[in-house]
Amino acid sequence: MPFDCILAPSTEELKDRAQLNRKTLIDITYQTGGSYLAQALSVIDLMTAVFYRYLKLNPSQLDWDGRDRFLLSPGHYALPLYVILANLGYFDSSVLYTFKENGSPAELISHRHTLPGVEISGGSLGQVLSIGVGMALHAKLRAKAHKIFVMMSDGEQDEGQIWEAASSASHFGLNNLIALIDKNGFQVDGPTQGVMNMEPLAEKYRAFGWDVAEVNGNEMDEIVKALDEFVSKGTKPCLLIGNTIRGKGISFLENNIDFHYTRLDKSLKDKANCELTGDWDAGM
Amino acid sequence: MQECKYILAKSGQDFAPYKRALVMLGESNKRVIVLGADLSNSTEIDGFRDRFPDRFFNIGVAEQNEMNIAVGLAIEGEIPFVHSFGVFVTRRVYEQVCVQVAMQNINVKIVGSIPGLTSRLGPTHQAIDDLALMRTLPNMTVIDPADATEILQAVPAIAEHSGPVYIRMMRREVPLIFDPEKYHFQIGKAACIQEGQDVTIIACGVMLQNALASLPLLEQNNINPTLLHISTIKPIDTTAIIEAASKSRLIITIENHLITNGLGSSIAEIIAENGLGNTLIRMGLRDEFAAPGTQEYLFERYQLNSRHIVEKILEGLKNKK
Repeated sequence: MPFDCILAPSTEELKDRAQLNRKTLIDITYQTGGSYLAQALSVIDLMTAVFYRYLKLNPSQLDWDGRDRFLLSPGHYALPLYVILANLGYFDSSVLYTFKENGSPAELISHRHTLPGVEISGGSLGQVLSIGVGMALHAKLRAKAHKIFVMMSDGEQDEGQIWEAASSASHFGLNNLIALIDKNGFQVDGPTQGVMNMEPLAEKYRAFGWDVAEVNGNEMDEIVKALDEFVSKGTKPCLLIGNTIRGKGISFLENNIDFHYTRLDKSLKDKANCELTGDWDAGM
Repeated sequence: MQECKYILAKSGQDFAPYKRALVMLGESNKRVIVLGADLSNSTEIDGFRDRFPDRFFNIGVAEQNEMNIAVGLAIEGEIPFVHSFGVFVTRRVYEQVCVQVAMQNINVKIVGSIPGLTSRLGPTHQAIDDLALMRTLPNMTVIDPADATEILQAVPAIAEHSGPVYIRMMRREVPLIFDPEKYHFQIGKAACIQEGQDVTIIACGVMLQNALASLPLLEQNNINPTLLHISTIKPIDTTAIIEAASKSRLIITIENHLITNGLGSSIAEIIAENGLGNTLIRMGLRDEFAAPGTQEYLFERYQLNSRHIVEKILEGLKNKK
């Protein structure tokens, strides 16, 4: 479904869309043998809100200069990005079912231009906020109105370069830059509090000169309220910290450290679908 | 390869050619953006800063951020020139250069100031491995200019070139070797300076001066060398090297760098892969970090000046007999 302008659906529509995206994520994870599903489920509400309500895009004209830029920093969040891009008409959704196959453009970790709409490579953590700063500087320099959205994870906040980028964004007055953090509280080795505690994250960014909002990142109403405010005012670079639950919506995945990488057999897939739809016949 | 004759200028020096080249480029190309890392004067980007303040960004002492900001700018169609000392824009930011610049083939120009032993600040500031690091990256073009003429011509050439480039940059008093009227720098093209049959000398960067200084001494010893100058380390001018190698059995390379994976290694690969069978002597740093000191002192200490070139050649020729 190509479109030339912002979709801006209502909060209710976004909730429905996020659930449909969850269903697709589960289906692809099952059919292709595995994915970073728990992370996809934590971030999907934030990404759904950004793509369907805020980004000005034109899937039929990839190089349209007026488009908003969406930069995915943790490249292992590729699958939710692919699901959304396919749904928006960037490419045929059959590509999703080749996820991480040898030779497939739907690579496990997203790389710039491997699929239409993928703006940047994010395989090595902590680098993409800086790229966002560069793109925002360009937009300022050339008096362009589009915005730069950078999606980050909480684990990658450990990287020092993030803080170099955060400093420079406020130094250069980049109010066209909106960053988001999917704060699901986990990194590879376990809870972020135990591996490397970066709290108080919101206060740190505020001290670096950012406008920060912290919301429940799985509650669409809260996400929309915060982002509506960011896109309307914006005197500083903005950060939305979404406190999320890894594996949100699927009980056996939620905050379960065993699922950094998720493989679903048929019974788990059916269980997940049942929980998602509330229809206990759904998986039968 | 250019004609061997008439490309040399009368010897002399030129003050801060890069500073001038960058301002001229800024005039002619409005997409050129200059990024610095708190070394505006030291990397000679202050001229551009003062002339084009809108297109100049000082990122502070944060080279990783600097490199990836350049990526963002370049993706949007700007032509960013990224500056710091050679060690910092290669060693320190290697993964940023690899993953975001080289891997995506992004149009970023990386300028590494004061290469190799031309820095007197010691091993933390001497880029003796930068050619190796950059040469290893797919998509990366690597340039080591020898004089002011090459700098003045290479700067617009790399801006014109589509794709990532690493260029070493001399500053302050820079030798004037090539006649600006007669010399034409081209990415990927070697320059033959003299043809002879006894030995083939291949030099890059600042070492061309030492190679030129060795010529009269060789003449005194009745040795008539071929002298080939390589300014583009990658992609290297294989044709010119094969031709130069055919002139004599003995080849000697000299570089302001480790002998590994810079000029000498490149030549060794070409000799071996083409079955040329020449004997090769590589001059440069040999698996060691250098001491601090002046250029003259370091060239003497690490046996890289014109006298050492002659000694090596004499030794090489004696061993052949």
